[in-house]
Amino acid sequence: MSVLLEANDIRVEFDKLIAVDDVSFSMSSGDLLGLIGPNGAGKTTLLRVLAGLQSPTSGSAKIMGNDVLEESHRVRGQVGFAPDSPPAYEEMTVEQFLYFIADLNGIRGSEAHERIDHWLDQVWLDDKRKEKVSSLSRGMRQRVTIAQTLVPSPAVVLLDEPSSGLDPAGRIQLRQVIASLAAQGKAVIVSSHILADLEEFCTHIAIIERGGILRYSHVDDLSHEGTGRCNYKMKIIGDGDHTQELATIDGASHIHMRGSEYIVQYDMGELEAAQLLRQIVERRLAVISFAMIKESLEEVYLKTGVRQVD
Amino acid sequence: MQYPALGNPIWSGQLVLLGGWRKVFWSAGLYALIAGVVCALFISVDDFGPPAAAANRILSFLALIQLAVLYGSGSSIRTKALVRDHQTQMMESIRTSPTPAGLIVLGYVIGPAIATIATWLAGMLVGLWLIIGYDLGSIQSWVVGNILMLFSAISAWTMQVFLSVGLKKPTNRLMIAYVACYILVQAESAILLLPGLPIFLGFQSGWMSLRMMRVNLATDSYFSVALAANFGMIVFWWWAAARRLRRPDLPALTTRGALLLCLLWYTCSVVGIHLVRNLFAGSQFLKQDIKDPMILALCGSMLIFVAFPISSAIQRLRIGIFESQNPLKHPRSNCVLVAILSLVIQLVALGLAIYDRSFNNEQLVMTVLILVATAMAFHGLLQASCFRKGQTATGWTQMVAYWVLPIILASVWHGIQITRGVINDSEPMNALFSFSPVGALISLWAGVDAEVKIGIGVQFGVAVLALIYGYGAEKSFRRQRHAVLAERTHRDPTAYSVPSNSGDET
Repeated sequence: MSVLLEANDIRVEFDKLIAVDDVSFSMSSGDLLGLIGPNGAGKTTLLRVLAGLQSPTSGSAKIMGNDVLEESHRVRGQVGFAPDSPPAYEEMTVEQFLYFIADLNGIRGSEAHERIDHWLDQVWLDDKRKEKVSSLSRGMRQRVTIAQTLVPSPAVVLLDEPSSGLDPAGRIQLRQVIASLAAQGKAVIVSSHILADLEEFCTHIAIIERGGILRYSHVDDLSHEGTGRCNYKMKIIGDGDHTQELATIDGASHIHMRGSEYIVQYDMGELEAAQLLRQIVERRLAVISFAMIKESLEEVYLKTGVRQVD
Repeated sequence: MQYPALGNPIWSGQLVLLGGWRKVFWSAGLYALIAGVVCALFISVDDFGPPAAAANRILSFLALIQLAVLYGSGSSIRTKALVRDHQTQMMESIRTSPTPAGLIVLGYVIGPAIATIATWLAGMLVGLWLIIGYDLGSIQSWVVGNILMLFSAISAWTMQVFLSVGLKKPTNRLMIAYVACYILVQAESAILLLPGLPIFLGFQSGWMSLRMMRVNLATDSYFSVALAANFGMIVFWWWAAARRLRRPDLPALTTRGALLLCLLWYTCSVVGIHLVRNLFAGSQFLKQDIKDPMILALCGSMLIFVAFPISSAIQRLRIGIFESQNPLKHPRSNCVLVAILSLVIQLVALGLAIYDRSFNNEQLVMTVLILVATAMAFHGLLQASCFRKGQTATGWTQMVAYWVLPIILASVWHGIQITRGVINDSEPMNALFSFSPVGALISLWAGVDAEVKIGIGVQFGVAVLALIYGYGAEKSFRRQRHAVLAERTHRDPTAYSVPSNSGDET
């Protein structure tokens, strides 16, 4: 898959404050990166650098191989950035505003008409197209911002807190829209505090603190990254404590009970899970449920020890 | 209302925000109707004399309204549009769009003023009706004068866009710029009697065209030169604003751009000085000898303009040091060279302005020394404020205070002494007056008696102190950056883990 976005040692300093600290990563077509971290961690600054709105003190950002500052004429229109506070002309209707955005991006005539119709439908604003932006609720404005970002059809989409102000249905819909962007081959970065959402649709997660990336991994590997082991939970019927028997299994460790279930740490992977289960059965233990425990993103996030930036 | 396609997205957007073509035309039509009715009523009243005389009077008033519409309404509506786009972050969406920057700037210059231009056009038509209906003279003068007014306004509007596009907090800065423009307008009204500034630019051009239209002094050469000068400034501000729109993080003007601005300004000044003398030769329009005040005004503008290239070079140097891996050894680039080049350009312009008139050698030498001392002082103060606070505003404030305070103190002291009967009116000013470069220039070129040599000595003293202060600030900044980089080098390398390329993982 082609690399759409490259961040190379990006550093942003504001006098004595380091807002972004030597951040490097790259994203390919279809990647969906969730950016999480406390307030003031540097997420928005990083997104602004990638969008070409903020010059890095050192390092560079490239979109489709073109530097966002030095070759900005080639990058413009390829990056869509939706800031956390929705920018819009209040006096315009939703439709007029989107036509303005299309015009600004060189999309005119029937093509503009089709795209605007499509995105108004996608963000459930079709019935609001003739209403003034000023009359919309915060959540609806957020939808306008998302439509505004996507009308030009950028290859790289940067969304800063896109869920803020959205109702539950809006959040579900946003997840679908974002997932569809990745399916279309775009590279998407979403900065959000709603970790459950990110966990659901992101392919990668980056935890950022004090400008630096603490962890960056594929979402499936996030909870187990580095150890190669994970926890399994199982329910065993029958009298007595089976902890001693489970301890005789090769490779098993950290065995304890949580409620009526046993928790065993063992090597991670499907084959390893089958091997563990086979050893339990061989010991004639009556297993009625068995599952690999996957830590939630919230748990992983809290484990990293990130703290609020002063 | 459907979205209008005008070929420039900013025009289209602004037209929608103004309420569309229909509203614009209705407003302009209503304005023309009201203006026409007021004119007709004015002419019909016997107290104002015969109809032709009354029409002539109200035409002058209408011309003034035309100027007010362009400069008042046209400028304020743009300020409002630019502030709104900054505050709502629309400016960022616009900045990163594929629309060429030049087109965006043009959009901001004309777009918010579409209604203003329609009103101006309506006013011009009402004026034509008066001229034709009451046989008031040259239609050509009225039309060309109005066009020149529009061009002069567009030149000011383009500068307004340049001032605004790169600001993070535009409200305050725009207000300052607005007040500054207002003060300039006021000053230029006074300078109408002392035309020394580049009279063919900005509001002055509009004002002059207004006066000349009415006293039948308009000539082809005046209009041609004025239009060319305004067009030159429009192109310059347009280019500078387009660059600033894309890279607001860089200094507002490149060093070359700032030098080009000086060249343009001085060229307009010198051409203006020579042309105005010929234009008004034998006329009663300006009764006094305007030669020395013109040179004074030119030198006054030089005091300000010398700072632009210096400021730009210093800001670029700061960025270079900030981004350097070895701040202590980052080269000083060309700050001093730029200051010297700015001075050379000034001296050539001064020479061209006065070559055809007699002047006192001592007067000229002292003027040159004042300009040199001012360039040195500006260099030091701008360097200090740029390296201490990251911007040059404080340096400008300090410099202006240094220009103004000695004049005020000396004038107050002089007034007190006269009141107490210690001295009489004809006694020279206290030497404190010429401590200020402005005061010294006034003494040299406007006949105010004050000891200039002592003043120039003090100015050089201040300049040397400013340079020591400025270089000290730069040195301190270099050391701070060096310390920050050294600390970073020794930081625990495991504190942050930089992720490897993830592109292959999916």
